[in-house]
Amino acid sequence: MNYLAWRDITANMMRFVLAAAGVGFLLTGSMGMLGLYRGVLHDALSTIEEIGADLWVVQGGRAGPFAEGSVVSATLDRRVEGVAGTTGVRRFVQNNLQFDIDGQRRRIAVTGLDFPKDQGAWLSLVEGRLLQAARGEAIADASLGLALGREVRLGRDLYRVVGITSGQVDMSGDGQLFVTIPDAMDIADSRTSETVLLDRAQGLGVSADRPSRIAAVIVTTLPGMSGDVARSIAAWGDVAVLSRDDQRSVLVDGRLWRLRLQILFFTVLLLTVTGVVIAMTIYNSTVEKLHEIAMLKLIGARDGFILSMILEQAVLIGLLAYGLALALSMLLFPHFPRRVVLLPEDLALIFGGLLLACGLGSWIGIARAMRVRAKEVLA
Amino acid sequence: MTPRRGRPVLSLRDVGVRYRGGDGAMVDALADVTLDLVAGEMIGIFGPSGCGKTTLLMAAGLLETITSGSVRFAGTAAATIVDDAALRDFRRRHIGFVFQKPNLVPFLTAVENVALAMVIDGVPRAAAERRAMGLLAVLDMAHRAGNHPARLSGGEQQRVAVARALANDPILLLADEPTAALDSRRGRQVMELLLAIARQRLAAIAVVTHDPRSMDLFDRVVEMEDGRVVAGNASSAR
Repeated sequence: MNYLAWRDITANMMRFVLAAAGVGFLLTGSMGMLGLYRGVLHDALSTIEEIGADLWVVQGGRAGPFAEGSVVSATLDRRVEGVAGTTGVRRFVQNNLQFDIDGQRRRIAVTGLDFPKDQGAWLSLVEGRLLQAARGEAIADASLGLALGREVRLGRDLYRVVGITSGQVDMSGDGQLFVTIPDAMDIADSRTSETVLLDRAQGLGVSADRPSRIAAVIVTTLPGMSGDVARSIAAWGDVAVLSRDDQRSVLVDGRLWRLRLQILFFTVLLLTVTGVVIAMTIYNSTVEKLHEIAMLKLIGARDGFILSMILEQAVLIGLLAYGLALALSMLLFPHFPRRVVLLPEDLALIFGGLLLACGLGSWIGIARAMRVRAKEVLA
Repeated sequence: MTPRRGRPVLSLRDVGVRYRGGDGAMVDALADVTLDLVAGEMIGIFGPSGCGKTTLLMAAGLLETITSGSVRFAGTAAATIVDDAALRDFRRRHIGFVFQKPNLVPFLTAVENVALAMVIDGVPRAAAERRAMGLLAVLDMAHRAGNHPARLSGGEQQRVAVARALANDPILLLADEPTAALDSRRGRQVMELLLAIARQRLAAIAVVTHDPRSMDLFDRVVEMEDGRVVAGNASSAR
């Protein structure tokens, strides 16, 4: 390292540490922003990726339950099952609802599993077991805070938590509670007695008369047949068919697009502020040393020596700040209410941005230092 | 450039420095200055304020671009040193500077300040600091080597500045009012030190000063007025 850069740092350690800490906090913000986006993406895609569907059959003209409302007949699965190339069908329903639990209003994403075909084997349980009964059992995500064996009232009925899973939250961050399809429909359809009476008075009939609705049918196909199966089902006209990639695209390029753009904007903004802070720090420290820089030129220091003195300080501030930001991120982010995912490629991106900010930031100081003339020592 | 006693070190021939003044008129800071310095000689440059003493020093130290005449170092024409980097390299290897203010780097210790000139020249730090300690010892400053400038007296700082100027064994030492900030006793000590350096190291030394108390120490006194040398340009190394 440049001799003068190091000695300057040790002589002004407090200022250096404070500058690095300030930049470090800004970087922590940048990491948090990107991590939050990755977390939202992870949560949004986890069900799509893990549920094991090749195709999603949804309401015609709609983009599926993860993008907008989708309602299909609860018996659609039987029609789909008959299509050549299909190896399995399951019904799917998910509703975000609010319940009073332990005196607190909580949001839960109630997801229906097509029991007994689907007992939740695709979920990674951390405690308990899969669903074994058609009614009254639930698998809860750990984020809901429901203990194993706990009975919880959802709508009119009690549900016993028989399994605990982790990392199963939906795009909006609500923890998922997995019950059977009939239970999920009951929970979603629970109405007050007054509503029932009013419906009857208006001739809307009782609940039993209403046609059962689900959100989608998920389909597995023979290898290489998903295209043919999708075309066959789409030809019916009353439903739409989405592949797993379509679902991913609907979420990433559709629903999450604005969030993505916004987070990118904030990240760029934070990195710009980081660059400005580095620039100010380095510029101020350079201006303070102009007389010494003139002296260095007088005694014959080459531009490279002076340039490296300034640049190395900027890079060292950046490296320290990056280390601090990493440490803070690892310490703090696990306690955030939403999942924050730090991917190596994002960390590398921030590191690259930081180096760029350091380079640009110190450029202003370097440009000022290069303008100093040796004879200014005599001024 | 190894100096021998009496050999020419610096030759200025008809040197002029002209610049445009604030009112747009051309000003001659130096006009037709001819001056020779030989190895082992210490000269004093006297004159009223604004007479061009410092400009002369800057022209001799390759800090000011001359507009006419020539500057030669031990026979080498300064005009052949074309770019700024080459000028700096030349200054680093052959010219030492001492100023009224010591201009020490505040965050370096005395020994580090002296070693800096050598480190810049590519000398490994440990070797540079060993040699810097030797120079400080010669100047009776070894016991203060680990102190930062803020903890040194004015006279001590000036001695460190002299040691730094000597770090790369210059053939020419240019001093601009080196004793102005010192009391008469300390000022005298610094001037005696410079004279000893001129004699022992065979450096040519030019000292710009207002202080007549050191007159007896100079081999020659050059008087300036209105940018011209009016007396004293005759080499007389003892």
